[in-house]
Amino acid sequence: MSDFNSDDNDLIERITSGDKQAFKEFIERYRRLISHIVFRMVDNTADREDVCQEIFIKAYKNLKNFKFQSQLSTWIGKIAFNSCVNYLRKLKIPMFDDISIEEETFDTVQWENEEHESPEHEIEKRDIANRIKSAVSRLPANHRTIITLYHIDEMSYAQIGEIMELPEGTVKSYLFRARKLLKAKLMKNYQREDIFR
Amino acid sequence: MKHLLDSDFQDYLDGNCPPNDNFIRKHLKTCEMCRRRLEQYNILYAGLNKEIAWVLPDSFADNLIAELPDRTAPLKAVYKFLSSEVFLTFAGIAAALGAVLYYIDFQVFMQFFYDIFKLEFDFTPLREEFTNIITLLNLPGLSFLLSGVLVLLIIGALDRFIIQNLIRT
Repeated sequence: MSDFNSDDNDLIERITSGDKQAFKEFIERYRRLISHIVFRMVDNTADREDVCQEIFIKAYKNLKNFKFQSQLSTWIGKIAFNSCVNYLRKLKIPMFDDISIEEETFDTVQWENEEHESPEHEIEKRDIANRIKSAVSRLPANHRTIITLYHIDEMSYAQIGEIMELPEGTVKSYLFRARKLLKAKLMKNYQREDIFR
Repeated sequence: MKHLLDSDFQDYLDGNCPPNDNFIRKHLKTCEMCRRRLEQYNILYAGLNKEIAWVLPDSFADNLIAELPDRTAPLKAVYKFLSSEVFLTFAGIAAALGAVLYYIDFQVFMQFFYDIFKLEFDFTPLREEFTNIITLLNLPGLSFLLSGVLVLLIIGALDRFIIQNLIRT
């Protein structure tokens, strides 16, 4: 499938002919998307910027091979995802494919620990958005990434599937199961009046 | 009463339900429990749609650009060499010699120099050798191409060393 975009084509031509200002535009255009993927895949804050740098340098070196068979955002998203997978492999950090493994620890560890949190955390507990963020961060890396690409970057199942090399059906299934689990956890820890206040 | 499934709520909020499928809407009008569950999903979606806290710093692009290798560096080096005075001088001399050897009737030309400078060196074998090489290559239009290149090189050399110097001074 060809996905030609004259703006992208012009930008790529300028970059491949050595225009560094054009590459700066490229970075600014995709900085947010790459930040999202790396944030979701790499837990260590100190390593995130290095991983992002590696991603953009890979893109810079390989842009001349981009053939418009996909969108530029999907292409760089794929580079980002693969770089993060390599990073996790290097550190031998497992990437869970299924949330069923995580579900058990989710119930017994996370919420029990939070009963002994500091007063500051008790206040923070009231913030549902923060609780959701916290719950998302405890999902496996691939589920977190799918949720972010779908809800924040507004990508389709097909685009996410292309980035993560997963069938569309699998992306949809992961997304549905993750949201179902998150909703269940959210409800479990709040009384009805807390949620609807 | 048959209640809605989790997948129904998610499809509904994702906009994946067929436009003519009124089942979910009708059910929500009559079922308090499913309305509550839909509201819970709404809250979850609102949380998931919120921008994440971490983003690359503004200085990231400038720092990265400063470290990138220069794509045009090899081309610049070639251009610098081709436009260097040493290369142009030798190219000009070679072009001039080539043109002389190939096109001028040596017997008359050299006789003129022999008579003036009392030279004893015979250039004829050199000319024949050059002609033989061209013949061996046997490429159509090579003479024309070579002469074009030679003329351009001579013009370039003249421009670089004489005309530009005159203009500068």
